[in-house]
Order: sequence, then structure tokens, then C-alpha cells
Amino acid sequence: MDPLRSIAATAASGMRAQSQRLRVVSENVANATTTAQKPGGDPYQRKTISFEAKTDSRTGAAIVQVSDIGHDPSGFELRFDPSHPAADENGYIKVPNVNPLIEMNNMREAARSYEANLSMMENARSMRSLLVDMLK
Amino acid sequence: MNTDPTSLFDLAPKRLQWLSTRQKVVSENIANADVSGFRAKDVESFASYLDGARASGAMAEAEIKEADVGWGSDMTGNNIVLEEQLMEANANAGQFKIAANLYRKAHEMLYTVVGRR
Repeated sequence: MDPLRSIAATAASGMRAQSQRLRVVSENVANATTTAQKPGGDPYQRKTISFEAKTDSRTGAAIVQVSDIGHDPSGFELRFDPSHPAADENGYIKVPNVNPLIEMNNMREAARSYEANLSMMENARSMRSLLVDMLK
Repeated sequence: MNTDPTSLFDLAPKRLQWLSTRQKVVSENIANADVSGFRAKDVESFASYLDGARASGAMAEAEIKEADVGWGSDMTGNNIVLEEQLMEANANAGQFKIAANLYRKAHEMLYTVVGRR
């Protein structure tokens, strides 16, 4: 396998992985205030995403892929709000374990990593075109 | 000068033809990236296209088949991964450039024999 082409495959898989990460972040942000459907129930549980290294069967390039989208097991905070439909008999509702600061950090990092992968791809492309231009 | 059937003047146009069919297939894949249930397409390998073209002697279109992509699919079964298709488009463009430049080089060699340039 041509190394410059496998760079493209690796970078493309990185871009895909990072965009899936960004999707999970936006799901978390969108559901940051989603409470339970019935009194005393559990609210939205923050989603987590993990990656794994893999060898692409078709190109032989080392790529990254999403290994698992799971749930953050950390506990929910309680808020006193007796008038809320999801409040339990003591008047408390559970709020999602989504921390907007963490999500924003995650979002920034995903965007920067996406950019980094894109510039790897561009670099490999310009190296290839330098090589091909030697034929002129 | 070697002008038998395996020469550049025979091989390069077939390669260019195969690459342009492949680029067409990639652009169709990208166009259908949001169509539910659409499966990624690819062309046959260059070796098998070459065998077919040699047997028939014509500049046929490369055969289009379902691609074996392993980057996952969405809930409708659509397995187009935009990043992967862009990578293929890029690789195709690079290969096309190589083949076209080699073809031009072969022409320049002929020009040298003729005495121009």
C-alpha cells in the first residue's frame, strides 16, 4: 500500500471518529436539562464515546474507529422543585449528569482534532502532487 | 521504441478510462450520501478491467459493483462514509494525474524521435 494513500485513509478515519464524537457531545448538550418522564425516575444519562485502533481490512492502513458509545455512570444531582412533574414524593428531581463545561471542552477538542486530521490529509496530498510534478 | 500491446499508449488510456469511471462512481456515492438504504458502489479492480478490455478489444466501461466498505452504516443501511469517499476521490485524482503525465511523457519521447522539441 502506498504510504501517502494510507495517510489519507488514516486521516479520513480520524475525521469520521471525531465527527461521531462531536455528535455525542451535541446529544449531551441537547439533553442537558432532560429530566425523567415519571416522578422519581432517572433523567438523561450523559453519553460517553471511546475509540480503538484498528487495521482497515481493505487498505491495510492503521485507522481509528468508535469502539463503544456508553453511559457515564456518575451520579445525578438532586434539585428541590416540588412543582416539577418529575419530582419525587419529597419534592426532589434528579438532573442529568451533563456538565456544560466538560461538553464544551470536548467539543473544542473534537473540532481541533478534526482540523489536525484534515491537515494531515492535505499534507499527504501536496506531497503526492510534488512527486507527480517531477514527471513534468 | 516499444509499441506492442503492453506499451504506455495502450495501457495509459485504459487506466484513464478506468479512473474516470471510478471517479463517476465516487461522485454518485457522495451525491447519495443521505439517501436511506443506499449502498456504496465501486468499480471492478483495474486488473480485471484490463483482462476484460483485452479480451473484447474495446474501450468498455468498467463494471460497477457494490463496494466492500467496512466503516459502518447508519440505521437505514446506508454505508456511505463521506470522509472515505473524499479520500477515494483524492486518490483517484492523483492516479489520474500520474497516468496522464506518463502518457504525455511517452508522447514527448516520440517527439524526440521525430525531431521536434
